[in-house]
Amino acid sequence: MDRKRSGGTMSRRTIAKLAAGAATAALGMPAVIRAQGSAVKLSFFYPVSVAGPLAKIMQGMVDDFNKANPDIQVNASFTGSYQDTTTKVQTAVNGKNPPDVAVLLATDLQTMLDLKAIVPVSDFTPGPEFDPKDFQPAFFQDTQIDGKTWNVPFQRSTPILYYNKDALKAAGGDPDKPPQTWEELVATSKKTMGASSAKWGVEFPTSQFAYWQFQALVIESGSDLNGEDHAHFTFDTPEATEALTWLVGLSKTEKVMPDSVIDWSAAPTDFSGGTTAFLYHSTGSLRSILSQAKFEVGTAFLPKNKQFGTPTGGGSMYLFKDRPQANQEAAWTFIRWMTAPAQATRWSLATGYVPVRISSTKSKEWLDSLKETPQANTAIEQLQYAKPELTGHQSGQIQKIMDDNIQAAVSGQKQPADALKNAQQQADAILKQFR
Amino acid sequence: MAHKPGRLVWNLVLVLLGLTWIIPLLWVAVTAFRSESDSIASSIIPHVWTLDTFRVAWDSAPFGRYYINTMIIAFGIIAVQIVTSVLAAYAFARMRFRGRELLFYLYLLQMMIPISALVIPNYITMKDLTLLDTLIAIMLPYFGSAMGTFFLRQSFRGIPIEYEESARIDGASLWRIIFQIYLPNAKSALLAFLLISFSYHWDDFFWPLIVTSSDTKRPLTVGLALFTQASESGAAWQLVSAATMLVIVPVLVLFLLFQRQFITGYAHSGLK
Repeated sequence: MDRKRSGGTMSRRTIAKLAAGAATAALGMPAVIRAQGSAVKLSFFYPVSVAGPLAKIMQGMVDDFNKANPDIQVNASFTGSYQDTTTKVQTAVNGKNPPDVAVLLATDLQTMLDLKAIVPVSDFTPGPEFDPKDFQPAFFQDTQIDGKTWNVPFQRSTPILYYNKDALKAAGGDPDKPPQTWEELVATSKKTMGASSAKWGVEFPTSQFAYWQFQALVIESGSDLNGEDHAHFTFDTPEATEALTWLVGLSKTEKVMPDSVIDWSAAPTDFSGGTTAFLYHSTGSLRSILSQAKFEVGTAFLPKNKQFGTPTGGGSMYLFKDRPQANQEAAWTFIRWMTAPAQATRWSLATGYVPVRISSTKSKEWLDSLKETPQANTAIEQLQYAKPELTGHQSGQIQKIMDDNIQAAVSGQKQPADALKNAQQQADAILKQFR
Repeated sequence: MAHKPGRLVWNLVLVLLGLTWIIPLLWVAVTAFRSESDSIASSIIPHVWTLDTFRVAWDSAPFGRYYINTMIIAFGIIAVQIVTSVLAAYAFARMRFRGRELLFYLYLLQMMIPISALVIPNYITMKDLTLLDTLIAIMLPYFGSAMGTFFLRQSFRGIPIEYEESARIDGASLWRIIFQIYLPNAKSALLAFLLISFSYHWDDFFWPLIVTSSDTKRPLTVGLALFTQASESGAAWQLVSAATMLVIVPVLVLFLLFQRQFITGYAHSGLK
């Protein structure tokens, strides 16, 4: 318990330090601007998608870049959610006024290609700090199309399993041996419901981003939602049906999960409040869960069916077309700096994102932080089983179709097999034009 | 006696409606004072009351600048809308000219186009006017209001034409007739429209986000969005609540102040 507590304070102290750094940097700004009248000015759009002072941390990093590179002046602009940012970029591109750099979902790659909005980063001189082999392969694989690298992983996350160690102990289990399989998860859930104060065994939120964590279940069953290319999806498969049937069964037959569509934003609160013993959620929630839970928190791989599996998630940095070459070169310098190991470590420690660079996970700062929050290591180890998040043409629309049909199954309006058949039909109708 | 039970039921319905409005608001107000490490799942009332969340929320973005911008935007828009809507409403209600009805229906049609369909054309217009990333760009698309024109036109039509005619005989100018006869008599319609318009523009997020990029040009809602868009984590309810309070308190105060005006507005209308 003490360890967990100190973990919470540690991260808050880190934030305070970084915020203080940002403030100092901000005060120094006017002088810097005056000194660089002829600097290349870059516009940079970024979303904030994890609860916390991320905008300040981002501004601090951008200020440090500007100080270290007097010939470049990056103007960072917070642009709402990922969806808002994508819309703002689309509007700006339509108005022939694209930004120089933007953080967008990794799954927006095909959308940006369809819009003819981006240039591949592999067209530029890599430079010493840009080493493709040092990026986590799971995060780097979805940057590739036609042998080119189209974006650079920056803030990436995955789903993991959170569990209440105290509840596991109360149920007679070993708190360091969380369930490994679907069956074990159900069995342990039932035990914790009787033995601990947890009202529910497990929560798997489906109010938003249902397709994301559901994709993990499908991968675990031996298939995937992504098809052979960006114009094909495999929603209507026996594996997906098995996965959706199991998910629906958690509430309807096993009765270890609330029988309703569980809210994405509120589920971590249920877990840290002790209402549920297990939680499927994003790595991005680790920090707030650790600071609020009054029990020892464990993290584990998502339990396997036939195999372990998870989708990746989160955002990457994109470089835009129709900008002067000097801007593109400067933008590439900025992207390389932001994704270099030192910054990757700094961004992950301050925000809770999974480090995108392998060397970051071997750095002293990261290893020191793991002594306080060993729970952060689970996601990195789980990456070996990761596949790219559901993506393709019109990915936003396709993800919405999947969400709606998963919700229809979870709330009992459709049978799992019918829901997936409908999802497949709706997706095929949209994708016909791209085949 | 017969209407008494009916009235009781009616009052009960009103109380229930009032509760559905006040409970979420109270929850937000209370949660804003809860410390970040105190889980909202543990109790409804915070274990420790703190102002820390307000400090963290306030420090996360230049909220002072955002307040000034939001006020300029909301008051600026309604000030221009009063002028444009009143004049257009008078023309549609009382002036005779060819194509009046057609023009009026075209005006109404514009109300039905969803704002989101106009984002890209409006953006391109602002770019051509070199107004991107300015407060004017946020306000300009709203300077004319079909809804305001419609509200006031209906209201003007209900004012007896005799008022205008007797004023004319006494030698009143058109401006005087509009601003001293029509406008005072349409006070409640005007206030209702202004309240709706004001709160819409106070709360508007999407268009300002699209058309501006600098912190110095952005409204409060952009600051609020720093806390409400967490898709890769759960919500930080305490911070969401504190930031929400920062944004809504001025509007709430304004609403409570205007509520009286609103009711007296109704009482004073009608033929004396």
